[in-house]
Amino acid sequence: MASDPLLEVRHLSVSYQTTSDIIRAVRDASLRISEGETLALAGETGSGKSTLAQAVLGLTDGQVRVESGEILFQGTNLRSLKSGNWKKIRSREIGIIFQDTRSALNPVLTIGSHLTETLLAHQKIPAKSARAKAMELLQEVGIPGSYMNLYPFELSGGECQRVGIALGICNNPKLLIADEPTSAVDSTLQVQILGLLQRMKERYRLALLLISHDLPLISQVSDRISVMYHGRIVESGLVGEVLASPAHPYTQGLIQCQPDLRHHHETHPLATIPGSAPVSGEEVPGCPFSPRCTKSMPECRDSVPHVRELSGTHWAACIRDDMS
Amino acid sequence: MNATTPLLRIRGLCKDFVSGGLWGVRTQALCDVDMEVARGDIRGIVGESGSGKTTLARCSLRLLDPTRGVVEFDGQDLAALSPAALRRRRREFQMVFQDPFASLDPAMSVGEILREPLSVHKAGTRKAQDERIRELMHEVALDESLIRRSPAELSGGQQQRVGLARGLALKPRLLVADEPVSALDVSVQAQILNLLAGLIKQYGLTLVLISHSLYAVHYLCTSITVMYRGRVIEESPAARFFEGPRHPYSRLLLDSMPALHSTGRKSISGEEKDREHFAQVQAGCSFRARCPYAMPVCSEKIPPLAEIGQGEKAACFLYL
Repeated sequence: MASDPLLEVRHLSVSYQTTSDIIRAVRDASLRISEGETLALAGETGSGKSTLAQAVLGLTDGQVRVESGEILFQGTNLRSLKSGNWKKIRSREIGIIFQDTRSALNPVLTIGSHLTETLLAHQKIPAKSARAKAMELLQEVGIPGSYMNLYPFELSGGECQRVGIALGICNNPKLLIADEPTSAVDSTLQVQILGLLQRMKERYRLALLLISHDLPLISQVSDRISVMYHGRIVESGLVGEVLASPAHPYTQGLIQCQPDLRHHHETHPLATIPGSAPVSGEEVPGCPFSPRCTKSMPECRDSVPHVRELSGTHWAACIRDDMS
Repeated sequence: MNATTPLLRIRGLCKDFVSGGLWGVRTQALCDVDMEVARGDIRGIVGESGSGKTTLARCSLRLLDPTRGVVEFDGQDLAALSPAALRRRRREFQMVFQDPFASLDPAMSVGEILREPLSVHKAGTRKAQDERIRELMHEVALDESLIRRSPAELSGGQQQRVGLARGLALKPRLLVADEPVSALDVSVQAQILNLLAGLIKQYGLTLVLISHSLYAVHYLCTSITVMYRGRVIEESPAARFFEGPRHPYSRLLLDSMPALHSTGRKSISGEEKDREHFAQVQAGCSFRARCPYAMPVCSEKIPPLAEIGQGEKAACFLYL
């Protein structure tokens, strides 16, 4: 934590425009990632985690709009940059891995073209060395060089995700944003993809912003975690600390309803969080979790709880006094 | 039919898909699948994406015509039925789909969606149907006020409750649920699994639950079928399976289940061996390239699914 943050997001609010409404997707969210660190952004559908990542990437043309707050990358406020300069930083310094690489790839371009084009777009190198570099990258992510001439549809889900990782790191970024990188593959491949991500991270000293709803996955690869609910970060801290002693009732509920092999519908039923999350954009007075919270008090509806420090490495936004 | 006839019996089921293009690439989605589901069985079908789980489900319910093989429902070969007779029979076997929103007609209200199976099968007067719709809403814990809403106005969990209610509307004997919770958030998954557990009891259902999550299958099922690249490679009573599955792929599947408080990553045998071109058709066991126990025989022949213990079957030369 001593080193300067690579990325710092301060009090960011982001909204997007639908045909009929303006949806406030991210509300007053702050986070920081140091060099080489992995921060997990956890949350369920509609919690705003992907919109936050879009904002960091500057993919805010048209529908998505940053309303307020700052996004500092290596001390530069990205919001003050012209869009061209932001693009330069984004493409060189920040890489991204999508949830479903197959649909993010162009179906009529070979794997090789994807990699060489991405390299050539950002680096002044001859085409020949771009091709050699592409080959090298593929081998590094565990894909034979012969795959250069294959099309995305000829690859399995796991192979596509490996190509996605190669594309994400090909311009030597400092920060890699991985949006649900393993949710399109099954558990046997998930372990392999995670292992690969971890190796690449160490090798290239990448900082990783891992966006995921999957707490077991997060617990395996992250240093710190920020839990989002209805656009707000409700708890953050060291991953071990947060998962072992969650302070926010939402985090507690999320952990309790994780299934494992002890659970059985007859002998050990799964705990649930009653109700469902508010639709993004819906306005909930006070604490956004209070309508579903089993520990809520009348005061919870009065105002949005401030983020409170529980220890030097653990914060939560809940007004109850007995937060541990 | 007598009580020992399995409710669903599948023999030698094959399904090929031919994808377009000049050469028409043929993909075998199912190869020689045999499966029996007894009355009252809660069968879990697990396997990675592309292993043929969904194709098996669709062929079992005759939503797809198999390339070869026989599907019998309660002793009756479904292929032998006339289209009209098959349609009548359909009220006894229903399906719940993975994507709750895509499987609901966006132009219909919740009430209309639930009425559709009832009116297609001419079940009761309009008044009786109204009564049944209200009953179903209650059973899946949906507020009656949602009856006039369109699916787009519901949350993912509510949509899947509608999908479940529609599947149950005709009181089927067999329900096939294809990944019913995988599109839902964890906190909602638990709600739907608990709801399903209650409905199984209430309706005395025979259920086929397709899932990539061993946790979901462990939570509900009494027996497990594991698929890999279009074949059944293991079948076991659930209790036995979770003590220690037999097929090396099943073990890999169980070992790689993510756990919340596991320390560090598990080392996975077979890592970095999964480099095979997935569409490549080859002789021998399709798992051999990833298998830590692969023997010469594995690349020569395809291991048959054989009985290896009480109710346990595996397709692996380790046990032959």
